[in-house]
Amino acid sequence: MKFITIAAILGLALSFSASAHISLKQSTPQNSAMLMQSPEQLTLTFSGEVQLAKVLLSDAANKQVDFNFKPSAKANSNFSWPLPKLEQGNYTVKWIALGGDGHKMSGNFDFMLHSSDAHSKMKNMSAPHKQHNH
Amino acid sequence: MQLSDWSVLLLLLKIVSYLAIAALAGCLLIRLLNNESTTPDKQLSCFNRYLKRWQITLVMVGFIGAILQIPIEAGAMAESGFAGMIDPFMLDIIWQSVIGEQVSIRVPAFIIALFAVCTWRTHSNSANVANFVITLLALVILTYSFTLTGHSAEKGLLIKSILTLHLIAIASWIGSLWPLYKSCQLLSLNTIKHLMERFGQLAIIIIAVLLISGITLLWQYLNSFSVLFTSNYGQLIMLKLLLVSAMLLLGAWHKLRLVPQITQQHHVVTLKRSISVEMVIAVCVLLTTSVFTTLVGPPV
Repeated sequence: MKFITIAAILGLALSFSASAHISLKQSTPQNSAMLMQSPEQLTLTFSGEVQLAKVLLSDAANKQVDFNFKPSAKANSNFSWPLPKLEQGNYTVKWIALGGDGHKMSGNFDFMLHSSDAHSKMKNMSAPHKQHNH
Repeated sequence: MQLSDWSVLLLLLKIVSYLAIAALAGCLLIRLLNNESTTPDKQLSCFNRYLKRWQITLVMVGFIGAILQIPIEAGAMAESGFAGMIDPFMLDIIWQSVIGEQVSIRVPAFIIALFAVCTWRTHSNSANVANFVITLLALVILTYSFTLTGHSAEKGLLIKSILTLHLIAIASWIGSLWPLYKSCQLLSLNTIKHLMERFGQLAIIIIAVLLISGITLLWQYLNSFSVLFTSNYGQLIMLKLLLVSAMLLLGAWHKLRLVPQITQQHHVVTLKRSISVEMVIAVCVLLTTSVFTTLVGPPV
């Protein structure tokens, strides 16, 4: 009986220590997003607290866009930066972070920005088509 | 699993810390066995002096590795070549993370260990009691420091204590192999036999601790039994278990067959050769453990 009690307490204590791995939960712009307007800000949301070491925003020619990112030792799960007005094209965001367990994590995602001119041209092209249907 | 130059450097750093802690634990165990089993003689003094030099060298290497951990981790984070190792932002990030916490307890622990090892008197038994306690304390702190990072970082104190016990057991076993190998060169037949017999008795307790703690940890880290076969992490664990089983078989062969046979020098040569094979397997165990604790994580 004593053994069963000890085993039960030990089992309960052990089962409380389930682990969870941190990952990028959400981003703005989202991965593979097709945008009609330049995004006003870049946000990254992680499933747990991380220390962000690097966030790089680069265009299709691999030219980096400066958006005043500064690495910080302060751990957080939500990060946000205002973005300058972006030209049309493809963009890649690459991030490097340190998780609470001391493990380095990294990832990247892409988004595409159409110009507002292209957007209005597309609208004009589609308008006669719509009229035709009517 | 990602393998880059920095990953290799981090792996090397981990292996260095494992070797330093193994040398500390193994020599401590052999000192304990020597003190209890025999009265000092010329050969034993020579052997003890060798153990002391060996411990000092390895603890120094471990100490340097602990100091280099922050800049190497910063370099790996920065991904901008060697300049990243001195990037103040990266150094600050690493210092304020659990890695900084680990280094801040590991460096003083290595200094304590170095002090204890350097002040160990190879002749006097009575003066060595305090020294033994200090070395043991440094060993516990050093092994506990491994639980602060990686997959055990978010675990409770109970699991961390079990992991510490597991690490002390494996460090004592693996770290004893080189002193035992050297004892075959430096000690007389009788002393070797006596030392091996006493080590064989103690090894049963070490292995029991190792297996019980190891199974408990496996149960905690793996979500299901099938993960052992379907993930990189599980497959590396299986490889480690296979290697540890080979070490266990060799250990059993030494204890039951080779040690009782020691009556002539050629028996010692056979034992020495067999210990060297066990040492190669032990290095493979350390390498496998370094890979799955540094580069591969348990499946979520």
